[in-house]
Amino acid sequence: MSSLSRQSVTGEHYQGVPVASLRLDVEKRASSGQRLMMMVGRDAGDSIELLVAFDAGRQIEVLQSVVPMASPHYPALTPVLPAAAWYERELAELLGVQPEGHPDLRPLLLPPDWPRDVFPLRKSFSQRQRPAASSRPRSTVPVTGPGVFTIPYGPVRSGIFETTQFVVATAGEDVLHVDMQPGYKHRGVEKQFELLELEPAVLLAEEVSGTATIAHSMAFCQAVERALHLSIPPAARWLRVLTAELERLYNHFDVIARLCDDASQSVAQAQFAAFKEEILRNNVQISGSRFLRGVNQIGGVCRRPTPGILSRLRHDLGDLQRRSEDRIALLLRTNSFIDRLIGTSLLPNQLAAQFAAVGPVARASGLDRDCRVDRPYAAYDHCDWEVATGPAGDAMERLRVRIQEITQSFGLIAQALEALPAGPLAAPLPQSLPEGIAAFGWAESPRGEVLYWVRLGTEGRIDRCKVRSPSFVNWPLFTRAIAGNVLTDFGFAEHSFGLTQAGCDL
Amino acid sequence: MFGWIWRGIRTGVLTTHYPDRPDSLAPAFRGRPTIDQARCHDGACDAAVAICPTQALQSTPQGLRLDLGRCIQCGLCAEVCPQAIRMTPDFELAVQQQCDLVLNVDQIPDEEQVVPVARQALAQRVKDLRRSVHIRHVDAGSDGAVEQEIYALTNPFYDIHRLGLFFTPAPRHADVLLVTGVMTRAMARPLRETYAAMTQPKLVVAAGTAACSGGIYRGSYAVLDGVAAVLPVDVFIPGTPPSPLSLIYGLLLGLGRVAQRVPSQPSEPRENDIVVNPMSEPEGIAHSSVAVGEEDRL
Repeated sequence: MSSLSRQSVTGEHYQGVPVASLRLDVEKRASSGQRLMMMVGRDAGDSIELLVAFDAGRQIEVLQSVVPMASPHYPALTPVLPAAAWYERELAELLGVQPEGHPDLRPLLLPPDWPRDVFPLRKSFSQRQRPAASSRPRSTVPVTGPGVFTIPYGPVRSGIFETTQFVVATAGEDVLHVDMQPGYKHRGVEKQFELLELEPAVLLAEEVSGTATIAHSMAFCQAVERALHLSIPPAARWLRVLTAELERLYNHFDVIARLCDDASQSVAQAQFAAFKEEILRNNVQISGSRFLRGVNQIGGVCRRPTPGILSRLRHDLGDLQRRSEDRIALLLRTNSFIDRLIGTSLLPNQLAAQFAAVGPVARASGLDRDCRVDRPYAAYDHCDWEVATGPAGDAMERLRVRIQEITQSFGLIAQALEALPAGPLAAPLPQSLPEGIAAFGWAESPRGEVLYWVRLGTEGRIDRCKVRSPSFVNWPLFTRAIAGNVLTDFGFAEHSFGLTQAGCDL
Repeated sequence: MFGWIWRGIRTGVLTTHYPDRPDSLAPAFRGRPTIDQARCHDGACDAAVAICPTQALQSTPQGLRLDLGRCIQCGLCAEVCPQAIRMTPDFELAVQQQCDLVLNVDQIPDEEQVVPVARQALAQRVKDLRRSVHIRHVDAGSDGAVEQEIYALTNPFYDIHRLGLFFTPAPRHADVLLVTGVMTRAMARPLRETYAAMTQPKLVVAAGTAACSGGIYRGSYAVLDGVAAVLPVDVFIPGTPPSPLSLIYGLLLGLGRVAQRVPSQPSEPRENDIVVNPMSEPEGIAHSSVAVGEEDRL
């Protein structure tokens, strides 16, 4: 196990486990209620290293196993830990590690015409390669019964949506089963990271999911900062809180606007869309970009808004908060709207826990999970606020949680504007970057925990960067929560989950 | 019910008058970089070329060359060489030919200079669909932000319905195919099929730097480096993501309602520019012959 020894990073504990006993170890942790955070595979030359990361309070506990490249098999974890299902499909497809006993090993992310024996995350595969098409038809889960038929909803969907495909089995009005087939937006993100040096890689992290620019770039930067033991100046910590909460605000207003759109509440939709637009315009003042591009860099942040811009932001947001609270109060009294949300796409607490849900989706199913509190980063340990949770688990509860988070975000922004100290914006990078160091980085995006695992290679390049967005975790739950609802509630269900495809397909 | 009506009226009119009256984004907005190489000291421009993450800025014997189709507006070049390179809030970047995206720096026009539309063929094609146009959006591998900007086109600030532009879910009813994203390998076939389902005359708009060139994902194994690899593109709208005003400008440029501001370069007409006037063909036959023709060409 000596090749696996790591430098210690606070808050991470690695434990070597023989492949044969990996499943038993995972089963123990799953039954004790530990949440699966992520599974990572890495091509280590003559072997493939598997990491299974669990959430143990303030600590991330990582099981590591080595699978020989000559015979890349291991006993599948999905039968004892359902939350591992998509990770194992991804590992099989991108790295060629076969989980034996996995119930569903259909391709998940690669294009339908991709040859089955080419694994893009192996080091022997060059990013610039584009293998010839091979026939690999997509298959779907058969659902049979009297009057049952399937609707392929996507990849080109009705409306302005990101591309994905749902194969909906129905007998008329009720949704019986949804088989989700993502991957149409697979861009090869993780391989692309391996071509870049650290500083331009932040720009790539910003474009993994363009509506969670701050969360993704911050999670990436924090992974590198933790690996290098960099200490971030206080001004940068507070600016990260400020921008992350602006990002949460515009995304939550977007979700409310889309729900109003689904319910044909056109005035309400226009009002909330206008609130979102006001925040995007403020974002330009702060960062030069409506989606807050170019804020984070490794070691801190790139720029500091002038005092004039900050005082105008304080004024504008105060005004916006007053107006938005009035509209939200009215929305919650609009029966024709809330009738569509109550009881829709119910996600029971037990199911959410079993599939390791994150973000507002988890919090609305009674799981008190928010990495701003669980493992504080930036300046969140100096902030005064409360995690919003609710027990009901339906679309209405997800809306309520988001509404509370809007209030909290306004408060957090006010605190950041108050506390923002003078001083440097970034800690300098060390002259030489040691090879082989690795760490996790995380951030609570508007959709939940974004998790990165970054390992440095030679010459300051990235050897492996594993990205796990909240959407990758929560989409499988969406397909379960929608079953049993009527087709006309599909939009409410989808928008109340508020997920993206870009972060899932990578 | 009355609560909403009252609040709607009280909010008043928020809508921009663009393009009838000029509008602008905040001065801090990073749009097009302008480069004045004469003011560069100590070879700082070479450092700017080296730092560009998408190789949008290149050094040629004729001087610096900027490919707007690759520029992701990160502004790193302007930080490295602030004397010569400046990020401007200019958002009217859309062009009709891919080669127009590549600027030799000395060709960048004055702010006031307006260049006539180069391609008569396109103007001919779209002359019947100027005032009521239906748009079908297809995502071919975006980062998700550009969808939010397209959705923003219907918000009270931009309200593109006032321009006679509407979104439609049905490709059969669509005049414009608005494509976003890097053009992933998996989306090539669905996109071709959507295009084939549209009737003539039709317009393809590539929205975003990613759709113009693949952007930061250019060269990736799963990416075909922009929409032009799959469909004949009529308008390219750079931007990461393009702002709603950039999108309005690009859509109107495609419809011949505004003029192109980035200088046009002489080029050979493309194969797909020669289109039989669909109005002269009998109904029905036009559909099937178009569909077959599309398949052959693609």
